[in-house]
Amino acid sequence: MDPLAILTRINRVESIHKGYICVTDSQKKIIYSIGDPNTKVYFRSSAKPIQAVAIVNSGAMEKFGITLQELAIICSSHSGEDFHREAVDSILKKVGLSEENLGCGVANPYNQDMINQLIKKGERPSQLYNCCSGKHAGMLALCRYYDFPVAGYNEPDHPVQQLILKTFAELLECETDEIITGIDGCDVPTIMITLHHASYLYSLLAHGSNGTGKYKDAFGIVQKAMVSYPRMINGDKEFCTDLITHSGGKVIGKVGAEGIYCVAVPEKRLGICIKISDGNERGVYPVTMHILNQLGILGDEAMEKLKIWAYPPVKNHKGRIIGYTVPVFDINKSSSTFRIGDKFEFGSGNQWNLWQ
Amino acid sequence: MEPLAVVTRDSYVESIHYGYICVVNTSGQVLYNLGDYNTKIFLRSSAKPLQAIPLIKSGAAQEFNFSKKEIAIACASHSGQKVHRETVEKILIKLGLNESNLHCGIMTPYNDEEHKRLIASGISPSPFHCSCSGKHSAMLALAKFRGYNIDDYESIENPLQQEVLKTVAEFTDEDADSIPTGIDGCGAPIYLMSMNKIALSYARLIMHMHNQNSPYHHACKTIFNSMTQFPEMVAGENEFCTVLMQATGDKLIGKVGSEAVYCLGIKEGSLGICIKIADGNERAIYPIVVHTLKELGILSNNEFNSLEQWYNPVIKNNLNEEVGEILPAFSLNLKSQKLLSIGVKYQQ
Repeated sequence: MDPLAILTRINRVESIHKGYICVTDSQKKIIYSIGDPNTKVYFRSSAKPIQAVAIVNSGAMEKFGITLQELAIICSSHSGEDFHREAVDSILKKVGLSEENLGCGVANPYNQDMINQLIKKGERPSQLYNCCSGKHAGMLALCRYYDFPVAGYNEPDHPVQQLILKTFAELLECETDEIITGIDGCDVPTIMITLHHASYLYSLLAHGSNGTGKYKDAFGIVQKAMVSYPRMINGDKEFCTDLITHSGGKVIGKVGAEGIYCVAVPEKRLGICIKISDGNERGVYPVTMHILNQLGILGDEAMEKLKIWAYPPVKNHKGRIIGYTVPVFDINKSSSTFRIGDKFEFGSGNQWNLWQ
Repeated sequence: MEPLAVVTRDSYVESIHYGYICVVNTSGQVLYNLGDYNTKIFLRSSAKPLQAIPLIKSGAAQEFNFSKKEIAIACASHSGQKVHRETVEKILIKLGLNESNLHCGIMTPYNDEEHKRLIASGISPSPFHCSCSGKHSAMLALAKFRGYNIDDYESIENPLQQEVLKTVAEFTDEDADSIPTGIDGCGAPIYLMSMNKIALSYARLIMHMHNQNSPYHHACKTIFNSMTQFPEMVAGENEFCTVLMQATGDKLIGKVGSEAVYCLGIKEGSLGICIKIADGNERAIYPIVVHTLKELGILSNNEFNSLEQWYNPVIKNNLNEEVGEILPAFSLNLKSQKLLSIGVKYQQ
């Protein structure tokens, strides 16, 4: 496993994040990789846009009048803001259900203002605040469309989960029983997938309706929803939202728990999958920004707007910057050795020099 | 670095934490080691028990009538509970100083209840809430005692910090001039030192505690007793350092540092232990510390059982169902590690 990012403190390496990257085109060809691309990872919430493909492909959107904005929340790990919860609630109403039918469980929203609001009021969050409530509403829509029972829709053997699994299997050209599943934080199955396959699925999202196969139109619609409504994908001041917004839709990114990040790049028809091996999300942002920069995908203007994510500063309690999370891989060179405690020089040719 | 802990989901490895462990005796002999023990790490808050030594050895603690409870908070990364804040404030009052003299900065307390109380009542946290405020008040005590300038007491140039650095150097067998320093989250200096030297400093703290003829005997004994007798001051309710020392009586002292550093001094055998998780994630520290102590035969069955929730922390989904665990994945005695990889079924 190669070092992907380091944490510096006064020009010394304090911590190291290792991990994997795989970049794949829509012909399934690996364009670039770090670490073994056949390593299997749990897809976690990065699976959501693909799970949404199964929903769109069914025709449930048309039947229930689900909007593109609502489709975006189905693809999201939202931060629990008002407009997120309203979108989820609206989907539930359209399919004749309500918050109690959700099986995602209660979780604190990750938008700080929302948490503070709940604490001030002394209220427990409803299931709508759970960052996966949109996906669950989408799964319920699929249940209603096919008249599957609503009860037990979280279970791996429930027809709705089997339908989603079948979609994955068809896209990956394998049998459903070849796919290992686990339980996600919101209780529904999460699949285990190689980095190569995960990045391939995102290349299909990148290719959208210009691609081939029976799901191409559904991919096109999911792509359009995510590009058109980035605030729905994450929330204000969150990485996925900022990335899609500031790149002007050139890049569609979706985070997953335990250090997963997937990206679709429509104009290059590329998909990218990143896994930080220790599962720490703080490594995800600079690594994602760096691979996009190295592949020449983001222009100067977008890089400038996104620099807080590209080289996140480490601050002390007084707000003084004392270090950075710095990406340390180079797609054109073999990886350098980084040891904890080593000096880290901000060379003049490096992007991160602008911080010094 | 070696794989030290895995995070499982449905019995498959989802994430891996790499790191370093070094166990030494008082002569600096490395008894157990995983990863290169010459690796240099920032000691962070694990330095606090060492930084408290000059406070006592100088006579400042006696001059200002420090209680053991107050010594314990000098060694703490406290969670900002009421008892912590009051103890720090009491020290400052004795020094004739107040909150405005603390240069540690303001941080959100990591005690959940106190954090929620602040939000609910719309009150901003004060410097007392900062987990390092105890250390800072102790530094102010030493500065007052010596007559050093208290306006820049946290600066490495201040003779106070030079005195502290000299003590750290002595305990780690390093030359004070050759220790690279950095700035901690609270603004005070921190030291970059190798794993084995850091472990040695904790072994020596124990050694001086045992040796009645040592000039450091009183200081080290006071620190050990303060931490083990007032463990609730060292971190806080339901926090690892506190629970560990509550569970083990007077067998050991343990102190966490940011970016996943952990140091221990073991009374029996005078051992020093230093652990660093390479990726800086504290969640892996707890199972690794408990497993290290278990492997060294330091914990009784009862002690081990009372630490079980820290040994194999359970990962739950939003429905509160168990879906995975954080598990220690090393043995101190094995030179060759198990082959571990993300995405494979984990065999314990």
